[in-house]
Amino acid sequence: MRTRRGAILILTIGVCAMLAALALGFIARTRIDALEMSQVMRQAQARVMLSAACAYVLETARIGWDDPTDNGTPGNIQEAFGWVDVRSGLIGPRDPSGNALYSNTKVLKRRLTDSAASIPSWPAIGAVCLAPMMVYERPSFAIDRNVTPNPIVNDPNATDFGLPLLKNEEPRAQFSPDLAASATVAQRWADWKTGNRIIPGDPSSPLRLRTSGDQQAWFRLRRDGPATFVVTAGCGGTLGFRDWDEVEVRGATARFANDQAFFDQLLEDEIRMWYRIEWSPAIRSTGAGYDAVNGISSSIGMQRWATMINQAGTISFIQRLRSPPVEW
Amino acid sequence: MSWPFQPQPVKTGFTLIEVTIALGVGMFVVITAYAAIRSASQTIRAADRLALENRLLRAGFIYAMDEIDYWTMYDDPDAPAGSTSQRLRGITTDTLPATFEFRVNPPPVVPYFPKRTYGMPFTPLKDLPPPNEFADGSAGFTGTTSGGNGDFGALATDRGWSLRPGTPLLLSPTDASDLATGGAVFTADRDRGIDLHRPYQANDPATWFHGSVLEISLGRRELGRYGLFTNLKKTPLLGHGDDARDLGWRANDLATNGNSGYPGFVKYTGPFGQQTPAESRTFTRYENRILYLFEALGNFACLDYLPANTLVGVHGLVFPWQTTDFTAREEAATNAPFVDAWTDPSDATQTLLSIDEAADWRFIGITTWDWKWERPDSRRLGNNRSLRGKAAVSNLTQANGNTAIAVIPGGAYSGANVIGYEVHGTIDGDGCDVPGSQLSIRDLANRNRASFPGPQTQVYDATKVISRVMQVAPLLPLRPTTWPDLRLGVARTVVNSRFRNSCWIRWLDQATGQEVEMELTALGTTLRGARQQRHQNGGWATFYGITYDTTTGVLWDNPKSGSMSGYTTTQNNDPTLDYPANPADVPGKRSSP
Repeated sequence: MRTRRGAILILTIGVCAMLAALALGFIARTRIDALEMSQVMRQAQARVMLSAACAYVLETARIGWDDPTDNGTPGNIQEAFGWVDVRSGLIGPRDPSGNALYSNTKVLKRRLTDSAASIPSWPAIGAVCLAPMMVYERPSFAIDRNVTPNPIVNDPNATDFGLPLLKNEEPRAQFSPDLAASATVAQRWADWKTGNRIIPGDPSSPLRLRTSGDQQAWFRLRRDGPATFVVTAGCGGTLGFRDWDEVEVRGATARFANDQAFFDQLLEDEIRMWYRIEWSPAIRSTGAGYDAVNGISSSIGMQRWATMINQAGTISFIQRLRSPPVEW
Repeated sequence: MSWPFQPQPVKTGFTLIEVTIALGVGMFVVITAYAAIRSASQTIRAADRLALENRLLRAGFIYAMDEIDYWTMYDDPDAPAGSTSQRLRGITTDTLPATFEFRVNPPPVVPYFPKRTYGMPFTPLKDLPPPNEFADGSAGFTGTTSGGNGDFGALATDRGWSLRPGTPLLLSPTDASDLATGGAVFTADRDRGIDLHRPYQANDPATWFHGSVLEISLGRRELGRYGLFTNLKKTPLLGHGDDARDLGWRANDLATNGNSGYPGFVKYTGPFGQQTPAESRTFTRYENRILYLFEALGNFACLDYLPANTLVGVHGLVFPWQTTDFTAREEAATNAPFVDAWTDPSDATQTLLSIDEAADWRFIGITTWDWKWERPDSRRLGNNRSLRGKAAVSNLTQANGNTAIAVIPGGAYSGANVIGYEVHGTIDGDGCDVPGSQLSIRDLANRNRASFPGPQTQVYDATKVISRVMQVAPLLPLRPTTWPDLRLGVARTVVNSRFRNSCWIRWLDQATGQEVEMELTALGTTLRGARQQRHQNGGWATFYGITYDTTTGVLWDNPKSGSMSGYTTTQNNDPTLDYPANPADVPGKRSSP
């Protein structure tokens, strides 16, 4: 009997050991998969940043240069006319009056130990723009995620039982949970308009960023010519700072716990890709299509022949750089 | 008597019932344990297989992203020169008769493009003739002496219309004077090739098509002769109607108020003749730059290099035409939207029949060299069979779902070498459904100047077109046969008014054994970007940077010719496929304020 009990014990232990080994192998494999998948996700997010960088270049060819502090005066909303001004061919961005919205004055050192500043402020040629992708908990003009704001009442005792009524507007604004129910229309509008966005010049404005997830995506632009840019697309924790020197120059050491080793560790885990792009004011035609004469119509239409240009433009080429350029 | 009946010692053992039960229970335990182990093992195995499938998917995705960015399936810079992986660097040259005989009396002798050289999407420009060889060489335009990839004149002191971003579009005093007094030395009009430092710009009039879009090649010239103002030739020959060089059929057309049911579509417009060089105010750079780009790199490159919505069309193209065909198809002379010189130089029947340089020709569908107008077995890729002269793509906007332009691959992963994808017959008899076959360089050059009508036109069904424009690479070529397969398909097309990088990742489902495919598109390197990645002498080019002098407006990228401010001499950028043979020529062509 002892022998039999022992055999069963051994058998049980063996079985358990085998199951444990299988489970361990499975868990290890899953862990490896997770790590590999993380790299793929970072690659994908970094590539999304290439799209974001292109979109930023296109949009800021026109908008984004307004100084909100002078908007009280009519006509003081600054808007540009292209990285190369489509009106004059001069280097942009320039305001409606043709004044440059950039300055070539060097304001930033490359390293703290440099004797003089060598980098102008954005958007001048040679300047650098960092764009970490932070997601607001509630962006401006957020829409309520409730997809059924007007459910059909299923209470037989209700007077509107079974009636598909549109009692609530749809879609609905997403207000702050802190907004009082008695808020006025103006207060509700201000809340909806602001979201969790920082209001320039208002230190009390709310800023709440989504903190979940560890895949911090970012892009970084360096304008190296009138219409050409070096795009660095990345995903990781460095927020797009090139190196610790830049972190120091920009006074951002606190973001990394004042610890260069921590920054370097983030750098090692990060995906970075370098591209070069060129902006062009040319756009596709939005003109009317015409039929050919004499009834010989063509389904393809015939658009205007001169290249159409506008402030937003298009991206004329994208080039992945196999290695980072000297300045980026 | 002793107690004989000694109690028998208890015999240990099992009864049959006990044994039976014990065996049963034991077996149950063992089987349960076995089942548990087996189940766990199978679960782990299934999980492993699913994990393997995920790894395949991840690997395919990474390969796809790399391919999107580096184009190595189309052109592998690390491959030996002339190898299969660099077939898209091939060059085709047609040597045509030095003169064409017009079918009229007297037959003028015109040196029309005696030699035509066609590159492909990855042909280094240094291997092509300089663009002035593509010019017409007509009188009054002999100033192009470029040995590189484009003569842009003495722009340091005489820039003409500035093409460079950052300066207004103004005529230089010299050019303004030329324009007023006779334009023979109109410097700004010398632009021909690809200017690396003033690439095709939207604000550059040299990229603006000037013509009657309403009429294209069909109209009655009611809006005038745009070919007079901008043309391939400085002194275009604009003959019509009573002009001795006209063929005469237009008069007949007028008499019948049209032909083939299109009343008056080639209305008589009267003779015009030819300007003298002194009379000429005709600009030539738009046509010549466009033609150079088209002939150097092909159809896809035209849309890739030029600003969005640029109309790829020119005035002044003439084309050889077979006499026998023409007599039966008279309308061809003005309808054929064709690029000249894709003709059979050995065909004695080729005769230049039209010199109507007023017509607007669009770079649309191209044909093979024995193309014929509306021939039932037409090989015209840009037009369908049933509709007359339906134009295909001549700019990005017009690239719809039925007229795709693509980079036609010619490497080891294309055509009949595509693995796992059926090659649907042939396109134009190129024989690429034969295993191991490849398009010839000439056919490749031809296809890269074609647009592919899709299923609506029923010229080529979608699968056939896809099998032509797509290439598929096995990503695990050395795998044991028991391993799962993984393939990556890539196609680069211009369709629905946008560039489209398509990838197909195909693998075996490790759970079911079925083949699974995932398609994705992604933003990445464009053709121009890919050419800039490649060294003109093979391998990859390194880009260190550029500097832009905000004071002088000069842009430097030091192609092995000097150093830039802020860069060491070892940080000279490598010359790319777009550079001339001698990169040092580039600074001499650089514009200055």
